[in-house]
Amino acid sequence: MIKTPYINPFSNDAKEIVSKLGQVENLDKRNESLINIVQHTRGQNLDDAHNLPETFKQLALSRFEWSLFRKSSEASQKKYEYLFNPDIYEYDVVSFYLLCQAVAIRYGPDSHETKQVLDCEEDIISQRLEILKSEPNDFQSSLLRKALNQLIDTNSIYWTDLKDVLDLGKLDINELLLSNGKVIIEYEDFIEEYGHLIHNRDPRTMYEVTAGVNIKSKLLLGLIRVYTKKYIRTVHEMSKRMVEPNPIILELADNIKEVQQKAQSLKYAGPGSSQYIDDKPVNYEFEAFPPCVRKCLNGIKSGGRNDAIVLFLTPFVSYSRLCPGIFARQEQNIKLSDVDPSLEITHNEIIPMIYEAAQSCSPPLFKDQPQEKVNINSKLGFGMHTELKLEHEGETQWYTPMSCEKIKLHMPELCTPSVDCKKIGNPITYYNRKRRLMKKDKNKQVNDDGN
Amino acid sequence: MMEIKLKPASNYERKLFYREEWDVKDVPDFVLNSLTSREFGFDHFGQGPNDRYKTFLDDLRLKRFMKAKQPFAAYCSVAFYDAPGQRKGWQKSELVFDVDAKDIPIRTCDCNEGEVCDKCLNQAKEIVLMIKDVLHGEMGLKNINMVYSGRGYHVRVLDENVMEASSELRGQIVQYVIGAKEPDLTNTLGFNSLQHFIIPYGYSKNFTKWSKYTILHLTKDSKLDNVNNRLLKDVLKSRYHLEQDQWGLFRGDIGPIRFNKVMSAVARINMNITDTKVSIDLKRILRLPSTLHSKVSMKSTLIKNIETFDPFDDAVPKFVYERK
Repeated sequence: MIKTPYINPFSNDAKEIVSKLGQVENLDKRNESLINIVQHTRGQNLDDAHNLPETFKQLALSRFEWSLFRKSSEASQKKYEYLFNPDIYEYDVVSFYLLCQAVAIRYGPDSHETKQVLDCEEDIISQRLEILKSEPNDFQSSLLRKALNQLIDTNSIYWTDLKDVLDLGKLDINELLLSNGKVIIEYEDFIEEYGHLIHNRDPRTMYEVTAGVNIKSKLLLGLIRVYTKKYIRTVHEMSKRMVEPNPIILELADNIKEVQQKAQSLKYAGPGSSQYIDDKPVNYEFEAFPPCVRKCLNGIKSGGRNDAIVLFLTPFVSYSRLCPGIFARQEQNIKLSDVDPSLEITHNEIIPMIYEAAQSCSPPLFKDQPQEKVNINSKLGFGMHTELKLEHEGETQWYTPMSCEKIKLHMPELCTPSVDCKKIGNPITYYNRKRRLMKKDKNKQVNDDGN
Repeated sequence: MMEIKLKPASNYERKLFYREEWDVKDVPDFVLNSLTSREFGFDHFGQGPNDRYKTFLDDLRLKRFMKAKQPFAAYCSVAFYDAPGQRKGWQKSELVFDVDAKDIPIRTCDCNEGEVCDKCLNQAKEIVLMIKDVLHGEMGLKNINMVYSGRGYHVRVLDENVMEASSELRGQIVQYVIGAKEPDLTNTLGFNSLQHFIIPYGYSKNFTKWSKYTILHLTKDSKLDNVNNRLLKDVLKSRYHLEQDQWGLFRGDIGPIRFNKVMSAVARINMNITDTKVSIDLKRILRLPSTLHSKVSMKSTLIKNIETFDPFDDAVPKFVYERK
C-alpha cells in the first residue's frame, strides 16, 4: 500500500506525521524502525553499512547526496535504494522538512542551496513516479489523484490558478486541456467535455495520450516545487525572528555544504567530463556554431537588425569565446574582465566579429544607427559609453546568451532549427554540445587510423 | 463606401482633428479608470515616441495637453505602476496582441511592403476574431477589448486573472493562442503515429485551426522555411482537402515526411501572425485609442462591435472627407 506522503510531502497525513515524529529531540537519535526499513529494502546494497542512515538527520542528508551524486556514477543508485521503498514515507517526510528548514535558515530562499533542495525533491518524487509506472494505469491515476487533491481540486481548477507552476517552465500551457479556462484533468471531466467529439477511437486511450497520468505527474511535481519554495520562504521569514535556531538544523546546513563541495569536486575531477563546460577562454570553433548564429554572422537582411546584433549576437559571441560554460557555473553573475582581464580578446576578436556582422546587415547597422555601438558595450557590461573601458565595467550587466524560447519570440526569422537544435534550449548549449561531439568524432577517427 | 486613400495627415489637418474632433470622452474607460497608474508617451515630430514618462492626474489635464500639443502620435502604457512617471513599482499589465496588417505573413493582397489596404485589414480582423475566440472560449478570459490601431488591431485583455502574468508565461500564452508551436505528441504509450489533426480538442485543435488558416492563405510566392518551390506547389495543389478538414488526405497527397516539413514551417509562420515582442513586453506603450495615426490619417478606435466594424466607416477622421 502506497501512502500519499510518499509522493506528496504536503498532504494532510504528512502534516500529522511531522507532528507525531518530528520532535526536535528525535531528529538526531538512532531510529530502529528506520534502520529496519532501510535494511529490508529490496535491492539495497548493504556493504557500506556505516553510510546507511540511522537518524532523521542522516536520512535528510542522504536524500540530498543522492540527488547530487546520482549523475556522477550510475552504480550509486543501489546505495540509496531505500529512498524508493514506499515504507519509508514517514521518515522521508520528516527529513524533507528538515532539509528545507536547514537551507531556509542558513542560506535563504534565493540561494543556490535552496535551488538544489528544490531539485532534489523534484528528482526524488519524479523517480518514485517513474518506478510506479510499472503499476497498472488505474492505480497510478488514482494515487496521483489523491496526492493532487491535497493541493488542488482536480475537478475544478483554472489555468490562471496554476501561473506559478507554468512559470517554472517545465509544464507548458499548451499541454493543458483547457475549456473556458478550466483545466481538464480527470477522465470523467474529459468525457463530459470532449466525449462527443471523439469518434472511432477509444476515448480512454485518447485521454491517456493527451492528458492522463503524464499531466497529473507534471502537475504534481510543479505544485510540490511551488509549495516547497513557499515553505522555505516562510521558514526563512520566521527564522529572522527566532532567538536561536536548533543546533541540529545548523549542523545539517553545514553538512549540506560539505556534500555540495564534494559533488562539485567530483564533477570537475571526473575524467574529461567537464572539458566542454569551460569557464575560461577557449578559441572559437566556427563549425560548432548553431544555425541562428551563423545566420546572424552573415548579416540580417530584413527587420530586427538591432535586436539580432545587440541582444542576441553580442552575448553569444562574447560568452562562447570567454566563458562557454556560463550556465554550468554556480554563479552566473560574472564580469567580462573576470575572464578577459586585459580585454585583449574582447578588443581583438569579439568586437570585430560583432562589428563585421553588423556591417553585413542591409542596410549596414551602424550606417543609420551608430548609437548601437554604445548598446553593444552596454550588453558586455561596460555601461552606456562609446568607448569600451575597464573603468566603466559594472555600470551595466554582461548579458547572458538568450534562450531559444526568447529568440523565437523576439526574432523568429532567425530561428531555423537543425536536427541538433531539438536537444537544446540555448544556442550556447548547442555550441558546447557540438564541440564535444566534434571532439569525439575526431578522437574516434584518430583511433581508427591508429588501428 | 467611398474610396479612401491612406495618406499622411498634414500639420494643419492634425490641428484641426485635435481642436474640433477629438474628445477626451472617446478615450476608453479602461484607460481613464486607471489614468494615474499609466505612463504616457508622445511622438511630437513623427520621429518615434521620445517624449515618455508623462503622467496625468485626471481627464481634464490629459485633455488640455492633447488640445495644446496636438501630437503626431500618442501612446499609453499597458502597465500599471505605483509611480508611472518613473516607470517604477510595476503592478500589472494588460495582456496584448498586436496584429499589424502590414506585417501579416500570409497576406493575399497586392500591397507593397509597409502598405495596407482593405483586403489585408480585413484579414487582420479575421485573425483578431480568431484570437478572441481562443482567449475567451479556451482560456476563459474576460474583459477583452479590441482596438483598431490605425493600421491593424490591438487585442487588450484586462482580466485580473492574467494581468500579473510574467513575461515568460505571456510567451507561453501567445504561442498557445496563435498556434505557434507544433504540438508535442510524443508519449510513452507507444502511439507513434498520433497526428495533431485527429485530436479534436485542446491545443492540438487550436494548432490545426490556425494551420488550416495559414495553409489556405499561402500563395505561390510565400516563403516557407525548408520548403522548396516544388513542395509549396504540391501544398497549393492539395490544400483543397483542408476546406473539408480532410487532413489525412492532404497528408497522404504530399507524403508524411514532407508533411512534417510543411507543418514545421507553418508553425513558424503562425508565430509571425502577431508581433510576439509586444505580447511579452510588460512595459510596452501602445497607441492611445481615440487619437490620430498621422501616417495614414486614421483614428485609433475602441471597437464596440467587431462583427460590423469597418475601419473605412468607423475610423476615418472628418478632415479626410473634406480633402479635395
